[in-house]
Amino acid sequence: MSFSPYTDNGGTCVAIAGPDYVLIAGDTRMSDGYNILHRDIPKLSQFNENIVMGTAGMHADMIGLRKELGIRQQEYEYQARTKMGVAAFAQLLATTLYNRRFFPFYTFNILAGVDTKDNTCAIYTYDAVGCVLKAPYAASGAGESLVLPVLDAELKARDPVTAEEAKRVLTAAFRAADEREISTGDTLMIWTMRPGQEIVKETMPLRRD
Amino acid sequence: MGDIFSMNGSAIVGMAGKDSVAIATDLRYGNSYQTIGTNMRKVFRLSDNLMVALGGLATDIQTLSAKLRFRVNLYELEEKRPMSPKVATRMLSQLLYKHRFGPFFVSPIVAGLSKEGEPWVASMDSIGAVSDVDAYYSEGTAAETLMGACETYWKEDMTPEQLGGTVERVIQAGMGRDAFSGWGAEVWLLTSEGLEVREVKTRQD
Amino acid sequence: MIDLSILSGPRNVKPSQLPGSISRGAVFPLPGCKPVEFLEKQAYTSFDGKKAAAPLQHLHGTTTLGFVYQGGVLIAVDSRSTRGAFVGSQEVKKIINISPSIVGTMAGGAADCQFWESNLAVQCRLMQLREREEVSVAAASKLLANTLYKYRSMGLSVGTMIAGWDKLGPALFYVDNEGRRLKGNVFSVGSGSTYAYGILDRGYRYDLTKEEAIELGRRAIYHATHRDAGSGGIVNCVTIDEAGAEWHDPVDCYDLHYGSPEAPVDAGQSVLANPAE
Repeated sequence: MSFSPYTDNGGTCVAIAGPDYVLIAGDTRMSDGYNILHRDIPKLSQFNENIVMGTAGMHADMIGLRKELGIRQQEYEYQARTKMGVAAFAQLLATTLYNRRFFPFYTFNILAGVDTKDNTCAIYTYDAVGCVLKAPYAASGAGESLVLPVLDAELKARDPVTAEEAKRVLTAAFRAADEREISTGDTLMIWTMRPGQEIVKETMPLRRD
Repeated sequence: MGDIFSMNGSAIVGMAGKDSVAIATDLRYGNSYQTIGTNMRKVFRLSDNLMVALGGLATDIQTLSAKLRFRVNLYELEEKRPMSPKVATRMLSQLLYKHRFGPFFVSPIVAGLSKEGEPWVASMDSIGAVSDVDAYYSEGTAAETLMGACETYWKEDMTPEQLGGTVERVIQAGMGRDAFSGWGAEVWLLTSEGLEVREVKTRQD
Repeated sequence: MIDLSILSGPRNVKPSQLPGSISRGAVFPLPGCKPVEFLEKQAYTSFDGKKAAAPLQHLHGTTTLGFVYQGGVLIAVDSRSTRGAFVGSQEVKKIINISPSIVGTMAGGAADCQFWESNLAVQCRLMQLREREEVSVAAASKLLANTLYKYRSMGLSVGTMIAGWDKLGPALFYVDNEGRRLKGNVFSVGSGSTYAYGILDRGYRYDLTKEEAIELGRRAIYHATHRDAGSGGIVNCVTIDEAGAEWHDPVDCYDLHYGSPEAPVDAGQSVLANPAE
């Protein structure tokens, strides 16, 4: 067997946005094939009170990416002398990922944030090499294909739901990934962001098998 | 794609409710990315209370469904009684395993009602390894997306109406995220009253 | 003594000092071997539908088209993004603004198109400031073709049309990752392009009115989405003439097929139907 610089540590992230809230959630399992390496590794990373990123895929690359983004964010904030907004961060993430086009970060990201300019909530989804799409709801990682059909059935072409309802949709959809996708499980972290408010951080138990 | 199971594309889901079973399938017949037909039926009623849905390679779906029909008919002529879904499952499994080293490229779901009216759903792989413990199964190129929806929407002891609605919701949601299936769908709902076949209006892209 | 002058007064930042490679003309870290072979060996690229454990890139199937008509130039595209059989998104914006009167389309690798076309937008803007003149479509497309030529055989996947209006009138170019650049009146790119060409060749005339042109563009995309599993979603359409780019209402393929918008799924029971479990 030849050496590979990549491993897939699995996991799933989901986000739903409404007019005055955005939820982002991720499980905390870190696995390698059939082995569970850790049950409490958060997939959500907070960059400031308005920006949270969810990362599935390879854990080492997530750390590397997080670090690089943190440095670039600080660089930006020193230069521009203002806090970074989601839109700017969304573009930064895309560029950072594309910079590694020929040796990609093996990470599948979603970005949730509050745009402080107009107090709107936004979600951006990415592929591993930095194609970015703005979306009302998104999922990434190993359970993406199990979660998204449910989100479609519940949210597509409908009037926006309340934050409470969105949380119920999100947990119901996540249950599907939890049940059928082996790299997803242990604990679900759900963060709720609202304009001008602190992030509300909750957890919920998932399957541990 | 390259995989022979996904060359023609299919979405099939089978689900059990209270005194009822339902199967939903898509209607596409394609060759990889090219959609050739939008009226390919993938469910077959083999007896009054027995239906089999086949996902996978279209030519094998046709051949296998004919073989199955022949065998079920012969059994019923010889035995002078309808074939129970459990027996049909075992028979199909045997038939598939007979071709262990040159398999039919199909993923079947068997659904039906027993003589006592008990609902039955089972699925197996292309060489006949049966699973009959769950109340719902999905197969085809949309198997994963359908399963996500099944996990969320299946409930214990659904009435026939609820079951019909649920499989329709599941097939709509599952097909919507699968490029190789869709272009119309059918819901087959089997109760003690008989079989109800309903066409579902879906996206055509 | 530390130079603190950057903390006060207007800052004079040269493009080369800006963070991000977009202004530097892009320098990428490479693995210690050939990038294409490397990524293929990792089996994480999915362009040929080969083994793809977790494909890195979005967007394989697509239908995009463009044509020049008497009033200007029209671009119409679908909005689906796929990864193997999985539909990643049904609402991708596949028309990218390059300048006020030039747009580009996306086909192939989503990230490749997005990145290099926004890079092209930057190049065009800089060129416009330098030359004190709107960039021509020919120049814009050549800038992109030159950029892509530099990366030839590095495994990029880009099939784009650069369309717009400049001082010579409407223009349409096809540019791809091989470095090809073709001028033409009718193009269609992507897995659904053959179907779109079928409709386009039947209905295309130079003297189409704008309304007829839009109708033709939408119809060609719709028919392609019907036959091609890789295309679908909504049809986005833009026309460009002397007055600049005009974006037309996006239309859902469902609407184009049935003549009425798609209703949300109403069969079965929503998870919200019961009070919280």
